[in-house]
Amino acid sequence: MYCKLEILKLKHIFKIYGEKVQHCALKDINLSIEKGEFVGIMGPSGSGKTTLLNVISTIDPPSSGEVLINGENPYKLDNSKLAFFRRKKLGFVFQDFNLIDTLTIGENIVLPLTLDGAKVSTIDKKLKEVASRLNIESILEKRTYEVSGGQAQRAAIARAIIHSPLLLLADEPTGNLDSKAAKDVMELFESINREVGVTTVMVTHDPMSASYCHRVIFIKDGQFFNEIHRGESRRKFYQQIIDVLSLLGGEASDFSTVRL
Amino acid sequence: MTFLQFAFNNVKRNTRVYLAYFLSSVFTIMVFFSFAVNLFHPVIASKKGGAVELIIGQTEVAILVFSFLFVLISVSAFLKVRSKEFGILMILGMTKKQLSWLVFIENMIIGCLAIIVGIVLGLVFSKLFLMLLGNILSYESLSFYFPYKAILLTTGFFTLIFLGISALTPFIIRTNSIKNLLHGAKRANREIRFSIFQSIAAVLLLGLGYFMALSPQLYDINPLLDKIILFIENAQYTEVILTTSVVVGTYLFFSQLSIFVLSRLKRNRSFYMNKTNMLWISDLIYRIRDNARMLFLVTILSAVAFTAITGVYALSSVVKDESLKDNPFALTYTSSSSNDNEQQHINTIDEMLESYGFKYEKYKSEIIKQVSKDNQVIHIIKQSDYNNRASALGLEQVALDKEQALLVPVYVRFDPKRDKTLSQKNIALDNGEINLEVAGIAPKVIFYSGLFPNLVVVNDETYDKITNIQEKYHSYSYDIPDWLNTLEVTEKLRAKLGVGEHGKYFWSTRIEGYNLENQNKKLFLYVGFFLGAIFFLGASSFLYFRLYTDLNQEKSKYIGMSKLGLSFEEMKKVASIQIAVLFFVPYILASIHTYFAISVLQTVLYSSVLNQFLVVIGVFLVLNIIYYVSVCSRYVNYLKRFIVQ
Ligand SMILES: Nc1ncnc2c1ncn2[C@@H]1O[C@H](COP(=O)(O)OP(=O)(O)OP(=O)(O)O)[C@@H](O)[C@H]1O
Ligand SMILES: [Mg+2]
Repeated sequence: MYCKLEILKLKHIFKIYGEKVQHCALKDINLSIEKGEFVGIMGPSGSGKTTLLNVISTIDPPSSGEVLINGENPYKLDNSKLAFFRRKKLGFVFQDFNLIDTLTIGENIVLPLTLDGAKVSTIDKKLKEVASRLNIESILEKRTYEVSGGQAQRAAIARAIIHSPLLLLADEPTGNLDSKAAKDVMELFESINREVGVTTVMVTHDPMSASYCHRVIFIKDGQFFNEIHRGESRRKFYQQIIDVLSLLGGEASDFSTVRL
Repeated sequence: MTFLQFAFNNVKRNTRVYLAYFLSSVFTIMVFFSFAVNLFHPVIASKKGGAVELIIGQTEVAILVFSFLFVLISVSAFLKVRSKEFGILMILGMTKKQLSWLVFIENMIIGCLAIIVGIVLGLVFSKLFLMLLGNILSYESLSFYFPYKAILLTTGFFTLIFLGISALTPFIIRTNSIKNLLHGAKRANREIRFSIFQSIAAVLLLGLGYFMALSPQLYDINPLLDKIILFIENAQYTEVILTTSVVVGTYLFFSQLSIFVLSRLKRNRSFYMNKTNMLWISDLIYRIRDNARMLFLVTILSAVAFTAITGVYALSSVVKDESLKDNPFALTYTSSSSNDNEQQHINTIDEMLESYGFKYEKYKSEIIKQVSKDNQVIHIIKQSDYNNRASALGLEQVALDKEQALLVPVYVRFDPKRDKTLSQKNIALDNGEINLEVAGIAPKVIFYSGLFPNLVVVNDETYDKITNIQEKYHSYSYDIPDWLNTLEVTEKLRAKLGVGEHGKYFWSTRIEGYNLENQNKKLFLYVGFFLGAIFFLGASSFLYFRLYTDLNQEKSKYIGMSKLGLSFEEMKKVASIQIAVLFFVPYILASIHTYFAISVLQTVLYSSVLNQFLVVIGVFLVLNIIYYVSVCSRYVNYLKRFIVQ
């Protein structure tokens, strides 16, 4: 029997910014993501995508509502437990890579294990595995300024998955890459999701990137707008995404020129 | 890679970020250590309790306090630059404990290295410092010794400082908001606010402080003003009020007044909208607001540095003047009637001076001491003796008639308004049998400062009639043109005559006073110059750190503007004006503060120190300009790399 395992659940999430002039960035967001899913979040600029991802990432508490990751509310944990939680269960990929300049690529990748006090033999073994999967063995000794954007993003992905997290979170991971590098990175996400089974949530502007997801959720003005599921064809899914974006207004024309 | 390796790699590879912090630590440690080497030198340590030990010891304490502040400020600048890095680490699951531990290890690595390098450099330079100090104190030479005590003290204190600062770091990095750490805590979004009331208070407080500093010099201009001045003089805690009002005024100047003025400029639209003016003014408002505390600190530190240096420089350059005024004669020997060896001593002095080949002129005077019924001591000298001395000192001769008397000041700084003996109108001698009218006051001291208080000059005939004689002194004053070289002969004479014998004879020389003052003042100069230099360097480093911390944010701003068509030349202009304001406004304000602080000093000195003030301010201006030009060009060159051409 197919067993539905819920990895992420959001219940009635609100997020309000500002003290005097209040601005409601998220309004009553409900979401449920199952194990192994690959979910995209899209919406116009300022619609609250980053805010939503930050709320899920345990770094920006919601004003009200509940976040459950693997059945646990991270905002109820104390500081050090929360740190352990992030270290064990979450992986992050950012638009601007966020690699640490003082470390080599290899050292950046093993950071989550280092922080966890893993044995050197374990660290080396895992690094080897992940580096060969992502095809970045040749740059492990390089420093962050010596590699291309695509390579840096692969390293960031390697860092995000080396500790086999429960949930992989990405905010516009292809935003700083050209279309070729973006395609490589998205194929990587897809293969990691398929082969390792990491549940992935990704914010993106780019319909091409979004078309790799199983499901895309659209938000507008901080509210849930629509949700579409991918069928067999990625090309068809891409077209569907463009259609919804044009419904959302304005922005679709920006994307329609993008070729698959 | 283990956690420890991680910390090591961080320090090893990130020299650019760590260097400023490391160098400022090395510098303070080196200065502290060099002073400790002086302090624990066997020769100085053997003079326990003396002025020298006191001065150097207190300087050491001042350096220690300064070091703590300085290292604290460097470390917080250094941690701020790295907030993004910490954000990444936290999001990867680093606990607060691990972060504190990381910063602690890094601090300890940098701290230990800085202590070692600081001490080694200090050892190299300590030979020089010892030579300087030996020279100042006229000790033969302070030989080099192995300063294990100084090493222990420096290591101990700075280990404590680095430990203490590591303990403070969790408060500096605000680990609660990972989001802010990641985005480098955006600043410009807070609203600009200022209070007109506090801006006016800034002007009033600074005005009050300056007025109080000047008040003694403003006396006698206007009766109403005089009343206010006397009121200020009689008020308690004048110094505390003065300092507080200037310090608070300075703070309000940066936090309120400057923003108020810039906002006014903004309202003048034809000026504001003119080319790049809009850019630098709007940006400067934010910069000053965010840096108000730093600018305030820099101003106060610079003012202290300028004042210390001007003060010691002024003191040391007027020392010859002052000792000339204190001792109008090179040597004065005074004998009372109970001294049997008077003639013999005078012969010894004469012979000794002659044997050293000094030319001299000798002036002998007789002084009678009377004590009136109400226990008032009065000293009397006859007109011919006075005129004799007056001619030697280039003073006007006097011709008193039998009923007249001339008062002679006993201290160099005499003030008829405040010294009661100089305001006598009538003098009664022999318990009222001789009554004299005061004809005037002699222009200066005629023996040496402090000898024969309440001295009056009377007509020779009147003098001969005096009967009530408590004591009769003979005073011999020597005018020696080449007095600056009399130290050796004075030492020989001291070996023979000693310092004097209570109630019988005593003698004083100008060269000894000059030497002592000179030594103390040179020591002050040494210490004051040092403190001033490190305070000024510290203040400049704060500015540098701040610019460095802001650089990333500035970078993205300028990149954005260059995309909009801001040319490199325009960008250079905007950046130069802003940095100039940050560099020179504190300098100008500190110079003004110093001017007024110096006028307080002026009231206790005989000669004007305006020239010294100008020299010091000028030298610092040059230093500041050099510093500004080099920082500014580095800054602009750095930005140039990112500009879209
Ligand atoms: N710290 C903050 N304080 C106040 N308002 C904020 C803050 N952060 C975000 N906002 C507001 O919340 C809304 C959502 O912002 P968010 O960054 O989530 O948008 P986004 O969908 O990620 O946009 P983009 O596609 O441009 O990245 C915006 O209107 C923004 O102005
Ligand atoms: Mg966003």
